[in-house]
Amino acid sequence: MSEREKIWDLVSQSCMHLDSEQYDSYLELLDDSYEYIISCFSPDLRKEMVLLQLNKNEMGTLLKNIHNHIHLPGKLFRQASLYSVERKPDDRYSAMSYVTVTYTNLDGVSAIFCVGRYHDDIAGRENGLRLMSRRFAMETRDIGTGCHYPI
Amino acid sequence: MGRTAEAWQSPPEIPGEDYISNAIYTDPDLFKEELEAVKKRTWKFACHESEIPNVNDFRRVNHAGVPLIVVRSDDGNIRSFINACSHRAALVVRELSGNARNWTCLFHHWCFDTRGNCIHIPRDEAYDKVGLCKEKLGLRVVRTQTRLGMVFVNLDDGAPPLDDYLGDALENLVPVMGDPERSLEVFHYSKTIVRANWKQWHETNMDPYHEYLHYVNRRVAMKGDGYHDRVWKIYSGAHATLSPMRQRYEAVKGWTSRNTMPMPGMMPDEFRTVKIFPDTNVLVRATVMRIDTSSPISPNETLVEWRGLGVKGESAEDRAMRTQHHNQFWGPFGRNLYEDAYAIECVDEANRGGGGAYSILARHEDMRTQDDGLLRAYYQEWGRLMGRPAHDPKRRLSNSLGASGL
Repeated sequence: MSEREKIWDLVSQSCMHLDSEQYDSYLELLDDSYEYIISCFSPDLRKEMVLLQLNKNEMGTLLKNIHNHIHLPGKLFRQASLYSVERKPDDRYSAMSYVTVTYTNLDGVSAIFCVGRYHDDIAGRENGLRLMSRRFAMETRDIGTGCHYPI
Repeated sequence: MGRTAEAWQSPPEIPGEDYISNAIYTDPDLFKEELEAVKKRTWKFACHESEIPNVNDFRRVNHAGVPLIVVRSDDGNIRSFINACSHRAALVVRELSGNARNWTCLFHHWCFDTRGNCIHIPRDEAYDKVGLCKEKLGLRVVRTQTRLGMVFVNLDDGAPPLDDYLGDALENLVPVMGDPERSLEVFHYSKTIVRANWKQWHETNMDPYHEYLHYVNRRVAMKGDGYHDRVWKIYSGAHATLSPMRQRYEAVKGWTSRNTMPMPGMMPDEFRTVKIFPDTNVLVRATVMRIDTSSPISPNETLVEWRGLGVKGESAEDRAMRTQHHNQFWGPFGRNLYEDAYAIECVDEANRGGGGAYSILARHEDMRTQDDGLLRAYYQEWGRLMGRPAHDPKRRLSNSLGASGL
């Protein structure tokens, strides 16, 4: 596979593992130094807002506790399209993907849940590419009543 | 044993103040009436003054379906106006917030300053024949007063002043929000439309025993020392506060105690809450504050807004910690917020088609934490304003204040 294909594969796997709630598989894609942020710009406050910020350990704890919560009863589908890849020194890459997440409720009705962009920092490791950081720059500001899952 | 249709539809055999009819959530006529008798007659939290810190800063808000502009005018005073042009009622301000010395309506370019004066009408001599002039065509002023940095509006020009309305209800917030050396600012704002009645959102703030619903609240609060021994204090007008307690944030795996950098006037890990009738709730979880408020759209659609507040001018590191604490519970990706909203949407789904008939508010525990006393006081006040008892809302009270008698 080309570098771009490998990165596309990594981004796709990150979506598929979260969608299918295969959290151990998702966590395997993350470097130990992983940092995850969901942010969006508020035109009400005219400020950037951080909505979720986790390191790898915190992400693991959050994912493994979701079942303890009353949470969205339907399914999220994360659809990412890789738009750009920039090669950096030391086997590092910056990648940007457009993201659309749909939610299908218990009655089978699907609707767009949120849209935004993944800004990923990726590093080559002995066991393959790993996500160093991901910022989901969310364009959507209203995700309904909320969400226990990362995007 | 299940109940027959007749038994299900019959009022509970308990005192009237201990239950309410679910028609108050679903009946479209009652909804229209309460907009006039309750929402448009009471003081409404609109925003925090930190959202408009500079002269000519403005902010759009919605109150009872009416679009408003809140602005810090050129003299530094905070004013509010209905966001409708005096000409044909188009929105004068379309941006959600901003800074402008004046606003020009997009439709026919009528122009207004931040004190509501109409300052320009293109070719205004055309109105000379009917005697209209700019001086008579200002924006509709909405009464606006501020307390502890919270900006309140009232659509009723004859309503009592805000200080009379609130009385001492904010006393527990004075140490938190009233320190001039450590003023607060909003760093988080989100909103959504919840598919439930507006009162049901506020009910989640008045009924702590729904905390059984929340995984994190069960650990942080309900197993804490003194949880059940707190006491509700209810003020005139059905505002309320619950005596503070320390909570155990470290009881949630991956979370830590909130024993550093508490909000002004707060003890480490302390929790405080103040309820402002009829739709605003202030929560302080040691290091961070949330203010939420709701605006009705229809009987089963409610705009709910959430604000997170920290200390103005604090370091980026401190703000990051406060933001994390805010988001753990209350952000759109938090562990608490979705669950409240989902719960009341479940209630609404049952009520909408007539599935639910009555709701029971009959817990009596000497006004301690899980007593329904605040809900009873809330619906007493609602009934007084509506001129209808909440348990039998089709009946008119004598000597009522309700909308039809105004």
